[in-house]
Amino acid sequence: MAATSAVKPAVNARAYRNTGTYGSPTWTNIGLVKDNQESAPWDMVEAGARETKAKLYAKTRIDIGETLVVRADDLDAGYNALADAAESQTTAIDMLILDGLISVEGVRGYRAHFLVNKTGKPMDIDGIIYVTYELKPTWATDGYPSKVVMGAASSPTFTAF
Amino acid sequence: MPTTPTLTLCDNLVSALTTAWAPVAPSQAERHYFKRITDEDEASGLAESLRLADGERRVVIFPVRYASQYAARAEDLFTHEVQVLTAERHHAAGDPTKTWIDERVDFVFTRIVSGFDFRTPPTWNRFLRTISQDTLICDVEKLTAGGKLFWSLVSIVFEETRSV
Repeated sequence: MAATSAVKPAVNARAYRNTGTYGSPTWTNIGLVKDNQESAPWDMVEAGARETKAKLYAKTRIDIGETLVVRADDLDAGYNALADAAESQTTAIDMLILDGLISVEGVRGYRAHFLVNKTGKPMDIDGIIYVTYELKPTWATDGYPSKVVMGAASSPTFTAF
Repeated sequence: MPTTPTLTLCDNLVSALTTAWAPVAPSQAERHYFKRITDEDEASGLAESLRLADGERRVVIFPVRYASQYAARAEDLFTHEVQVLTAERHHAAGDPTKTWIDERVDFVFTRIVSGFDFRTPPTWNRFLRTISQDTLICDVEKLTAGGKLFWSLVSIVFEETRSV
Protein backbone atom coordinates (compact mmCIF):
# COMPACT_ATOMS: atom_id res chain seq x y z
CA MET A 1 0.00 0.00 0.00
CA ALA A 2 1.37 3.39 -0.93
CA ALA A 3 2.25 5.84 1.80
CA THR A 4 -0.66 7.98 2.96
CA SER A 5 -0.82 11.35 4.63
CA ALA A 6 -1.62 10.87 8.34
CA VAL A 7 -0.35 11.49 11.84
CA LYS A 8 2.36 9.09 12.96
CA PRO A 9 1.66 7.77 16.47
CA ALA A 10 4.97 7.24 18.24
CA VAL A 11 3.67 4.06 19.82
CA ASN A 12 4.08 2.43 16.42
CA ALA A 13 7.77 3.28 16.24
CA ARG A 14 9.89 0.15 16.45
CA ALA A 15 13.34 -1.02 17.44
CA TYR A 16 14.17 -4.22 15.59
CA ARG A 17 17.26 -6.34 16.09
CA ASN A 18 18.65 -8.61 13.45
CA THR A 19 18.41 -12.27 14.45
CA GLY A 20 19.52 -13.42 10.99
CA THR A 21 22.61 -12.53 9.01
CA TYR A 22 23.61 -9.10 7.76
CA GLY A 23 22.82 -10.03 4.17
CA SER A 24 19.59 -11.88 5.00
CA PRO A 25 18.34 -10.10 8.08
CA THR A 26 15.47 -11.30 10.24
CA TRP A 27 14.09 -8.23 11.96
CA THR A 28 12.72 -9.08 15.40
CA ASN A 29 10.84 -6.39 17.28
CA ILE A 30 11.97 -5.58 20.82
CA GLY A 31 8.46 -5.25 22.20
CA LEU A 32 9.50 -4.07 25.64
CA VAL A 33 10.73 -0.72 24.33
CA LYS A 34 8.64 2.00 25.96
CA ASP A 35 10.15 5.24 24.70
CA ASN A 36 12.72 6.11 22.10
CA GLN A 37 14.51 9.39 21.58
CA GLU A 38 16.38 9.66 18.30
CA SER A 39 18.89 12.28 17.31
CA ALA A 40 21.01 12.59 14.21
CA PRO A 41 22.64 16.02 14.05
CA TRP A 42 25.41 16.72 11.58
CA ASP A 43 28.64 18.25 12.68
CA MET A 44 28.74 21.72 11.12
CA VAL A 45 31.98 23.44 10.25
CA GLU A 46 32.43 26.97 9.07
CA ALA A 47 33.08 26.97 5.33
CA GLY A 48 32.63 30.56 4.23
CA ALA A 49 35.12 33.05 2.88
CA ARG A 50 34.86 36.75 2.01
CA GLU A 51 32.16 36.35 -0.63
CA THR A 52 29.43 37.22 1.87
CA LYS A 53 29.11 38.60 5.37
CA ALA A 54 26.88 35.67 6.31
CA LYS A 55 28.64 32.75 7.92
CA LEU A 56 28.50 29.67 5.74
CA TYR A 57 28.65 26.10 6.96
CA ALA A 58 29.18 22.64 5.62
CA LYS A 59 28.05 19.35 7.06
CA THR A 60 30.81 16.87 7.73
CA ARG A 61 29.63 13.82 9.71
CA ILE A 62 26.27 12.74 11.06
CA ASP A 63 26.08 11.69 14.71
CA ILE A 64 23.32 9.08 15.00
CA GLY A 65 22.10 8.30 18.49
CA GLU A 66 19.16 6.40 19.89
CA THR A 67 17.96 6.34 23.49
CA LEU A 68 15.70 3.43 24.33
CA VAL A 69 13.74 3.02 27.55
CA VAL A 70 13.04 -0.68 27.96
CA ARG A 71 11.04 -2.62 30.53
CA ALA A 72 13.26 -5.18 32.21
CA ASP A 73 12.19 -8.79 31.81
CA ASP A 74 14.61 -11.61 32.57
CA LEU A 75 13.02 -13.93 29.99
CA ASP A 76 12.78 -11.53 27.04
CA ALA A 77 15.39 -12.17 24.35
CA GLY A 78 15.39 -8.58 23.12
CA TYR A 79 15.94 -7.16 26.57
CA ASN A 80 18.69 -9.67 27.28
CA ALA A 81 20.44 -8.81 24.01
CA LEU A 82 20.53 -5.15 25.03
CA ALA A 83 21.58 -5.96 28.58
CA ASP A 84 24.38 -8.27 27.40
CA ALA A 85 25.62 -5.71 24.88
CA ALA A 86 25.54 -2.99 27.53
CA GLU A 87 27.77 -5.06 29.79
CA SER A 88 30.21 -5.84 27.00
CA GLN A 89 32.93 -3.47 25.82
CA THR A 90 32.81 -4.66 22.23
CA THR A 91 29.48 -6.34 21.45
CA ALA A 92 27.37 -4.47 18.92
CA ILE A 93 23.85 -5.27 17.78
CA ASP A 94 22.69 -4.95 14.20
CA MET A 95 19.52 -2.93 14.61
CA LEU A 96 16.89 -1.27 12.47
CA ILE A 97 15.26 1.60 14.30
CA LEU A 98 12.20 3.02 12.60
CA ASP A 99 9.62 5.72 13.23
CA GLY A 100 6.79 3.29 12.43
CA LEU A 101 6.01 -0.30 11.63
CA ILE A 102 8.34 -2.14 9.29
CA SER A 103 5.34 -3.04 7.15
CA VAL A 104 4.35 0.58 6.47
CA GLU A 105 5.61 2.23 3.31
CA GLY A 106 7.37 5.52 3.89
CA VAL A 107 8.55 4.77 7.43
CA ARG A 108 12.07 6.06 8.02
CA GLY A 109 14.96 5.24 10.30
CA TYR A 110 18.51 4.00 10.58
CA ARG A 111 20.30 0.71 10.41
CA ALA A 112 23.63 0.26 12.12
CA HIS A 113 25.67 -1.96 14.35
CA PHE A 114 25.03 -0.20 17.63
CA LEU A 115 27.12 -0.19 20.76
CA VAL A 116 24.86 -0.15 23.80
CA ASN A 117 25.41 1.94 26.90
CA LYS A 118 23.27 1.57 30.01
CA THR A 119 22.69 5.07 31.34
CA GLY A 120 19.81 4.62 33.75
CA LYS A 121 18.06 1.95 35.79
CA PRO A 122 15.89 3.51 38.49
CA MET A 123 14.65 1.05 41.08
CA ASP A 124 12.23 3.11 43.15
CA ILE A 125 10.25 1.18 45.73
CA ASP A 126 6.90 1.65 44.02
CA GLY A 127 8.14 1.30 40.45
CA ILE A 128 8.58 -1.27 37.71
CA ILE A 129 12.14 -1.42 36.45
CA TYR A 130 12.79 0.29 33.12
CA VAL A 131 16.33 0.55 31.81
CA THR A 132 17.62 3.38 29.65
CA TYR A 133 20.05 2.41 26.90
CA GLU A 134 21.95 4.82 24.70
CA LEU A 135 22.95 3.45 21.32
CA LYS A 136 25.75 4.67 19.09
CA PRO A 137 26.93 3.20 15.75
CA THR A 138 30.26 1.44 15.56
CA TRP A 139 32.54 -0.33 13.08
CA ALA A 140 31.34 -3.51 11.44
CA THR A 141 32.89 -5.46 8.61
CA ASP A 142 29.39 -6.09 7.24
CA GLY A 143 28.58 -2.49 6.59
CA TYR A 144 28.44 1.01 7.97
CA PRO A 145 25.39 2.93 9.18
CA SER A 146 22.76 3.74 6.63
CA LYS A 147 19.50 5.59 6.47
CA VAL A 148 16.43 3.53 5.74
CA VAL A 149 13.13 4.18 4.01
CA MET A 150 10.61 1.35 3.98
CA GLY A 151 9.07 0.48 0.66
CA ALA A 152 6.26 -1.81 -0.37
CA ALA A 153 6.01 -5.31 1.14
CA SER A 154 8.34 -4.46 4.04
CA SER A 155 11.28 -3.99 1.66
CA PRO A 156 13.72 -1.36 2.92
CA THR A 157 15.94 0.90 0.88
CA PHE A 158 19.29 1.39 2.59
CA THR A 159 21.44 4.37 1.71
CA ALA A 160 24.91 4.70 3.15
CA PHE A 161 26.20 8.06 4.32
CA MET B 1 -15.06 -17.38 29.96
CA PRO B 2 -15.08 -13.58 30.10
CA THR B 3 -12.47 -11.75 28.08
CA THR B 4 -12.32 -8.48 30.03
CA PRO B 5 -8.97 -8.50 31.85
CA THR B 6 -10.47 -7.28 35.13
CA LEU B 7 -13.00 -10.12 35.16
CA THR B 8 -10.24 -12.61 34.45
CA LEU B 9 -8.28 -11.13 37.34
CA CYS B 10 -11.28 -11.43 39.68
CA ASP B 11 -11.79 -15.06 38.69
CA ASN B 12 -8.12 -15.75 39.34
CA LEU B 13 -8.40 -14.09 42.75
CA VAL B 14 -11.40 -16.29 43.59
CA SER B 15 -9.39 -19.39 42.63
CA ALA B 16 -6.35 -18.29 44.61
CA LEU B 17 -8.42 -17.48 47.67
CA THR B 18 -10.39 -20.72 47.47
CA THR B 19 -7.15 -22.70 47.28
CA ALA B 20 -5.59 -20.89 50.22
CA TRP B 21 -8.71 -20.75 52.37
CA ALA B 22 -10.30 -24.14 51.54
CA PRO B 23 -13.78 -23.05 52.69
CA VAL B 24 -16.25 -25.61 53.99
CA ALA B 25 -19.72 -25.33 52.39
CA PRO B 26 -21.81 -23.28 52.50
CA SER B 27 -18.92 -20.82 52.93
CA GLN B 28 -17.43 -19.85 49.60
CA ALA B 29 -15.77 -17.19 47.49
CA GLU B 30 -17.20 -15.93 44.21
CA ARG B 31 -17.05 -13.10 41.69
CA HIS B 32 -20.12 -10.99 41.14
CA TYR B 33 -21.26 -7.44 40.42
CA PHE B 34 -23.57 -7.12 43.43
CA LYS B 35 -25.13 -9.10 46.27
CA ARG B 36 -28.08 -8.36 48.56
CA ILE B 37 -27.00 -9.12 52.10
CA THR B 38 -28.73 -6.65 54.43
CA ASP B 39 -31.57 -7.80 56.68
CA GLU B 40 -34.19 -6.48 54.27
CA ASP B 41 -32.45 -7.95 51.24
CA GLU B 42 -32.29 -11.42 52.76
CA ALA B 43 -36.05 -11.42 53.14
CA SER B 44 -36.63 -10.14 49.61
CA GLY B 45 -36.34 -13.50 47.88
CA LEU B 46 -34.55 -11.88 44.94
CA ALA B 47 -32.03 -13.96 43.04
CA GLU B 48 -28.95 -12.30 44.51
CA SER B 49 -30.19 -12.06 48.10
CA LEU B 50 -27.82 -14.01 50.30
CA ARG B 51 -29.32 -15.91 53.20
CA LEU B 52 -26.23 -16.45 55.28
CA ALA B 53 -26.61 -19.65 57.31
CA ASP B 54 -25.01 -20.22 60.68
CA GLY B 55 -21.27 -20.44 60.10
CA GLU B 56 -21.53 -19.39 56.47
CA ARG B 57 -18.80 -16.94 55.46
CA ARG B 58 -19.11 -15.35 52.04
CA VAL B 59 -16.37 -13.58 50.18
CA VAL B 60 -17.52 -11.71 47.09
CA ILE B 61 -15.03 -10.13 44.70
CA PHE B 62 -16.42 -7.19 42.75
CA PRO B 63 -14.82 -5.69 39.63
CA VAL B 64 -15.08 -1.92 40.08
CA ARG B 65 -13.06 -0.11 37.45
CA TYR B 66 -10.17 -0.48 35.06
CA ALA B 67 -7.97 1.85 33.05
CA SER B 68 -5.31 1.23 30.45
CA GLN B 69 -2.46 3.14 28.91
CA TYR B 70 0.54 2.50 26.72
CA ALA B 71 3.35 0.82 28.63
CA ALA B 72 5.68 -0.19 25.82
CA ARG B 73 5.48 -0.51 22.07
CA ALA B 74 3.85 -3.90 22.41
CA GLU B 75 2.34 -3.65 25.88
CA ASP B 76 -0.47 -1.88 27.70
CA LEU B 77 -0.51 -1.14 31.40
CA PHE B 78 -3.87 -1.97 32.98
CA THR B 79 -4.95 -0.62 36.34
CA HIS B 80 -7.63 -2.77 37.95
CA GLU B 81 -9.75 -1.61 40.87
CA VAL B 82 -11.40 -4.44 42.77
CA GLN B 83 -13.41 -4.67 45.98
CA VAL B 84 -13.52 -7.72 48.19
CA LEU B 85 -16.42 -8.14 50.58
CA THR B 86 -16.32 -10.56 53.50
CA ALA B 87 -19.71 -11.13 55.16
CA GLU B 88 -20.89 -13.45 57.91
CA ARG B 89 -23.88 -13.44 60.29
CA HIS B 90 -23.63 -13.90 64.01
CA HIS B 91 -26.47 -16.35 64.62
CA ALA B 92 -25.96 -17.02 68.34
CA ALA B 93 -27.98 -15.15 70.90
CA GLY B 94 -26.58 -11.91 72.22
CA ASP B 95 -23.92 -9.61 70.89
CA PRO B 96 -20.99 -11.02 68.93
CA THR B 97 -17.99 -11.28 71.21
CA LYS B 98 -14.73 -9.46 70.64
CA THR B 99 -13.07 -12.82 70.03
CA TRP B 100 -15.64 -13.69 67.32
CA ILE B 101 -15.05 -10.37 65.59
CA ASP B 102 -11.25 -10.63 65.95
CA GLU B 103 -11.31 -13.96 64.15
CA ARG B 104 -13.13 -12.48 61.14
CA VAL B 105 -10.97 -9.36 61.07
CA ASP B 106 -7.89 -11.60 61.11
CA PHE B 107 -9.36 -13.67 58.27
CA VAL B 108 -9.64 -10.52 56.17
CA PHE B 109 -6.08 -9.49 56.97
CA THR B 110 -4.59 -12.94 56.39
CA ARG B 111 -6.55 -14.11 53.35
CA ILE B 112 -7.46 -10.88 51.58
CA VAL B 113 -5.04 -8.10 52.52
CA SER B 114 -1.93 -10.27 52.87
CA GLY B 115 -3.11 -12.95 50.46
CA PHE B 116 -3.59 -10.43 47.66
CA ASP B 117 -0.48 -8.38 48.42
CA PHE B 118 1.43 -9.26 45.26
CA ARG B 119 4.60 -7.24 45.61
CA THR B 120 6.10 -10.25 43.88
CA PRO B 121 3.82 -11.32 41.02
CA PRO B 122 1.81 -14.50 41.69
CA THR B 123 2.65 -17.67 39.78
CA TRP B 124 -0.67 -17.47 37.89
CA ASN B 125 0.12 -14.03 36.47
CA ARG B 126 3.75 -12.94 36.29
CA PHE B 127 2.75 -9.45 35.12
CA LEU B 128 0.50 -8.50 38.04
CA ARG B 129 1.31 -6.51 41.13
CA THR B 130 -0.61 -4.90 43.93
CA ILE B 131 -0.47 -1.11 44.11
CA SER B 132 -2.59 -0.23 47.12
CA GLN B 133 -5.18 -1.57 49.54
CA ASP B 134 -7.75 0.20 51.66
CA THR B 135 -9.71 -1.76 54.25
CA LEU B 136 -12.96 -1.11 56.08
CA ILE B 137 -12.26 -3.34 59.09
CA CYS B 138 -15.85 -3.79 60.15
CA ASP B 139 -19.09 -1.94 59.47
CA VAL B 140 -20.26 -1.52 63.06
CA GLU B 141 -23.75 -0.35 62.08
CA LYS B 142 -24.41 -3.62 60.31
CA LEU B 143 -22.89 -5.61 63.16
CA THR B 144 -25.07 -3.96 65.79
CA ALA B 145 -28.27 -4.07 63.70
CA GLY B 146 -30.84 -6.83 64.00
CA GLY B 147 -29.04 -9.20 61.64
CA LYS B 148 -25.68 -8.88 63.44
CA LEU B 149 -23.78 -8.92 60.15
CA PHE B 150 -20.00 -8.87 60.01
CA TRP B 151 -19.18 -6.81 56.92
CA SER B 152 -15.65 -5.95 55.84
CA LEU B 153 -14.73 -4.36 52.54
CA VAL B 154 -11.22 -4.23 51.06
CA SER B 155 -10.57 -1.99 48.05
CA ILE B 156 -7.52 -3.07 46.07
CA VAL B 157 -5.76 -1.52 43.10
CA PHE B 158 -3.67 -3.82 40.90
CA GLU B 159 -1.43 -3.09 37.93
CA GLU B 160 -0.99 -5.55 35.10
CA THR B 161 1.21 -5.34 32.03
CA ARG B 162 -0.49 -6.96 29.05
CA SER B 163 0.79 -7.71 25.58
CA VAL B 164 -1.08 -6.15 22.69
